[in-house]
Amino acid sequence: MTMDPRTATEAAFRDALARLGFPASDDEQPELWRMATDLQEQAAELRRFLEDAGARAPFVGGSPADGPRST
Amino acid sequence: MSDDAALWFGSIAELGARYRAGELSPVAVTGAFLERVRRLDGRLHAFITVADAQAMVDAGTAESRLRRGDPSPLLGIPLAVKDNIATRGIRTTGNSRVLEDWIPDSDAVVVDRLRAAGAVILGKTNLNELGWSIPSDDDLCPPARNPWNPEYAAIGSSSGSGAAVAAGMVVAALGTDGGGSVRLPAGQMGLIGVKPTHGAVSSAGSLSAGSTIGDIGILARCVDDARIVTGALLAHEASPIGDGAARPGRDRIDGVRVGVPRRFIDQVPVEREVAEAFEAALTVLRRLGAVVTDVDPTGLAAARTANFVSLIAEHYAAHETFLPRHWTRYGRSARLYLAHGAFLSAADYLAARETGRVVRAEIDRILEEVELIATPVSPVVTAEAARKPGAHRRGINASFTAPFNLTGHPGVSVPCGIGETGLPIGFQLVGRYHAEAAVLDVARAYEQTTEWHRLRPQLDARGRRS
Repeated sequence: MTMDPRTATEAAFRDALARLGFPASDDEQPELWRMATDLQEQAAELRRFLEDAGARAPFVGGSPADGPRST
Repeated sequence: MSDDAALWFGSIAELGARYRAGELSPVAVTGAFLERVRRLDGRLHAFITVADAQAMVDAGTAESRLRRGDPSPLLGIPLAVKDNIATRGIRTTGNSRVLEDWIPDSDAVVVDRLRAAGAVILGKTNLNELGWSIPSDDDLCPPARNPWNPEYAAIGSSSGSGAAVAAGMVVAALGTDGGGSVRLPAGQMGLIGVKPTHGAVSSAGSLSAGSTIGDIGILARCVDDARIVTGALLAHEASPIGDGAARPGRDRIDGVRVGVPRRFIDQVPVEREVAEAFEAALTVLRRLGAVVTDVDPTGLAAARTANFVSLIAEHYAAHETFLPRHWTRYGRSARLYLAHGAFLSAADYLAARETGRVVRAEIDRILEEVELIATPVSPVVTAEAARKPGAHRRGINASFTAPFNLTGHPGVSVPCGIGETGLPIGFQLVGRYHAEAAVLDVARAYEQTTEWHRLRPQLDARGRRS
């Protein structure tokens, strides 16, 4: 799902749920929206961490000196 | 036998010695443990399925092997298995209505290994639905209670495994740990909890198979028991864990360097009694000769977040096709926790994995300076505090455990105190890859000079606090 719940409208978020086939109830939708928004904030924190750690040069994705990329 | 505390809370070695002395038999002991489960579990909800008939068959087999002089330490030892690990012929539900009728036709690798070692599987233990939700009374099986004070929930997700071992309904149990789900209940129920090095124990046949962060772990009442069960499971030859027998010098930890990530611990909202118990544990380690110093690895907070993102992405991927078709068969909490994973992108997931690579390198560097890292297990004592939705959604309760799921290092929870609620508190030791034996050595040295692992929950005959 490429939609970012942080910037979506309520209608767009409902559409996204429908496209995913989730029959979320009226009281579940706002909770799911809050959870998805919070999750996107956390994913954004990871990108900031990686940039601060110098682990992600733009477009390059690390240095060969970092060694194998798998964990 | 029905009031034999030495039996309910005996160690593997003690029970094995009584078998081999002819004082007890696996069939009689299994029958007695099953009766104890029947008496206590109406209150504690540790088990989802009790496998009476199969357990008695297994006990009979163990008895025959004992008569033939088989030396396996696990012969006839009553164990339990978390209900997200497949057991042949025994219902495996994940505490979800999605799987409520699933009877696997083969055992998970770990169950196969326990059976081969002669263990008796008494049944399948309770968990947060699919190991991933906030428990509710509407779950297939209601939440497990903490035997130390049944007014409180047992923390999860291996809540039933912890409750069963703590209450003396089995000697040890298997759990799964994707963010702390073995170490957290172990800490809160006065047990040893082992999360092995990632991948060292096969997860094939469990619902966490294929996870980059989850592992099958062990809950036991003492280090020696944990060592025996872990040894039966470990597949990796680089982890010679031993059989639990005393080894010369193992209780001496003079000069062992233990690092405390003080700055990170101070950033987490740790409850006062947890902080005090942790400092007291460090004092004991110093008294035993360990050199305790502060270390400052970067990225532990990011690792906690990245583990959470990985957990959500991987759980969603596992349920992607089933979730929309069977929405209401999942519990409310489970379906929402799964569904919000749909809003992560591939790039989000890869950022989480990349964070794991970066922080693993940092922890490996720290573990060249010191041999072990020590932290509290959980920042809070009660499951109720851990499950506050805002904190739970950000993995705050798993601040000290989840980073090492992401990095893959082995971690062990060790009892170190009792809180005002009557619930135990644990601290965690983390070691180098495949250094489970070294971590358990230090845990044992600590255990043998403290009394925490000798304390037992005070329960009446029906599982109420007495």
